[in-house]
Amino acid sequence: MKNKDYPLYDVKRITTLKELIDFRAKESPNTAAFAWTKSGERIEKTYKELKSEIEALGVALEKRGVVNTKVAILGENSYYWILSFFAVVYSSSAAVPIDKELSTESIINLIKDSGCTHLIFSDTYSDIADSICKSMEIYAVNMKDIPSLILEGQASIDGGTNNRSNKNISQDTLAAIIYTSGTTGISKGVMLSHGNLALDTCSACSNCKFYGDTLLLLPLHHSFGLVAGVFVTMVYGYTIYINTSLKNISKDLLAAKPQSLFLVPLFVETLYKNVWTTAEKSGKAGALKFLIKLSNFLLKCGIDLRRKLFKSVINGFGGNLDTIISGGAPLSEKYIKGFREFGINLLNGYGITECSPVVSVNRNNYYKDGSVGQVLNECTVKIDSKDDSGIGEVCVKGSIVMQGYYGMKEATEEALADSWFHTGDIGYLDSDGFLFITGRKKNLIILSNGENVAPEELESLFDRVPLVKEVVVYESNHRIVAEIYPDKQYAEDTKIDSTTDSLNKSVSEINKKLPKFKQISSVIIRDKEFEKTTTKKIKRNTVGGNNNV
Amino acid sequence: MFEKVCKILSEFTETKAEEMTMETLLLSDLDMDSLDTVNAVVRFEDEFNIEVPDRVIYDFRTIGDIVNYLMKKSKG
Repeated sequence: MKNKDYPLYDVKRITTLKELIDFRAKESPNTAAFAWTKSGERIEKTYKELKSEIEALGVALEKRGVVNTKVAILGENSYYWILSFFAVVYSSSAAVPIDKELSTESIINLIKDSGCTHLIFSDTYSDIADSICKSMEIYAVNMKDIPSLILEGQASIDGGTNNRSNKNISQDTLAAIIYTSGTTGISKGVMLSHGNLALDTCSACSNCKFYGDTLLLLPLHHSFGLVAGVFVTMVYGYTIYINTSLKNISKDLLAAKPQSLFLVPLFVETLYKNVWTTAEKSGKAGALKFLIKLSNFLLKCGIDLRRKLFKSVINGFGGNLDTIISGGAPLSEKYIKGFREFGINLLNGYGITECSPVVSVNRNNYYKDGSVGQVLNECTVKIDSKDDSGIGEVCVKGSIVMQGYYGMKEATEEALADSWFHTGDIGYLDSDGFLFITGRKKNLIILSNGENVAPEELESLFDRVPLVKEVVVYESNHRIVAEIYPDKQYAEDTKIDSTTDSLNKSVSEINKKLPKFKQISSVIIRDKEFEKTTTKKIKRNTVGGNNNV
Repeated sequence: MFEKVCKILSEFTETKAEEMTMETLLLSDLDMDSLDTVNAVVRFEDEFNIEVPDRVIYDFRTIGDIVNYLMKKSKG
């Protein structure tokens, strides 16, 4: 199919997560909803079993006070994590997914801030759970006790007890409080309702269609991991294979044979680089490059042999992979083109936790490289305070926008001013309705002459400079500075004598193409890479312009 | 143990094994991201015939952290 506009995919409009479970258990009761490997054996849970276990665990949790309350969930990705999440939201309570990489102190503060009365934790984190229980009054449940809780709940259901509170679940019922990691500022608890999450999921499925099973690699405490990695696949009724350890990615790809993957750029880049590392190790890199050239030539003639020519590459991903959705951070076009050359459609999307999180995504057969795709039909995007080029702040309105920040009235009012959610991201919509993100408002460089410059726009120009591994652009003394962490390996391989001279030359070339006010005045070369958040984004507030190098 | 660890790590980084010390930082000095570290740990598991839980991997900051963990584990 040509790359052109076409009608949205027909997807049932589901308004609560409870409805999602009920719908899928009815439509595909015997299809495996989840699968994973334990001690070398594949374990599966069908959609019917999933619903039954959610209800049973929900009843057992209700007996322990989980009714219209908030429950923290702490643990590695697992079926019990997902089951806990659904059992909580199915009982009219809100789940608070916890980032397990945070310090114990941060986790305690976050649980206190969210007002959780209960904690469900995996045994791996029992030491943190002990510390939490010592520092506050909270009812803790170890995930290893879930099988006995299911039996207990099932016995109650068989005896006539049913989930009492879930009859009141509506589109507006709070389902989750998800804390944003944020590259600057303090964490905020984003309140997302059943409607926010369910409608965002269905709307994303209307833009993008997925065929076949997936492998869940993203952490579940992130909204993108939860919504794209779990809910989206459930809408289509396929199997979600749970990767329980990053050590097993290769094995799990072969076991799960996914047709779709939902990834952040770090994974995309690693998978792509692995293809080339493997080819180089086996002495086939030259042949692979030749096949790419041949395939690209044939494509121009209308002949698509990519799935055959690159069968060995695709087999490394299990043999079925044809679609990757990337979100969570900006992705270099290099990888989009690279995967497409192998016959795998890599579609970039845009989201923000406050919008549940997906706002836009490129469509299977209608996409533009460099864009984050078409805006979902459950929301409207407007570009606020546009400059002469039509670039301004991306604002979102619609059923996917959060209820607010938990316990932060002022921050909520500020973010939802004039009933639009102000994302803080800078971008534009083109004439075909494709959204492009060019930077972050809070990183905006405001020069003394009143001109605004998005540092990300300048940083993206370094994508084509192989000597630059990482770069952050900021303002210092009314000048634009590019702080660069060079690629030492590249310098060595290409026998570059002076990294400084080479980088200055590249900056001069970049400046030639820029209007004067955007030009980079000086270059700082650093020996160490930039400090990152747990989601691998550079912490801008620790870089030069913030006087903390 | 230290030499073996450095040799394996050198497969994932541009730094040569002989330039590494117990204090070398995985992220800042060796430029190893979280997935590189996970892949290196898979090699340690094969080489030393042990299992390293995921949670421990996140705590590895220096080569010394890895060496000390592996030594403790192999004694146990």
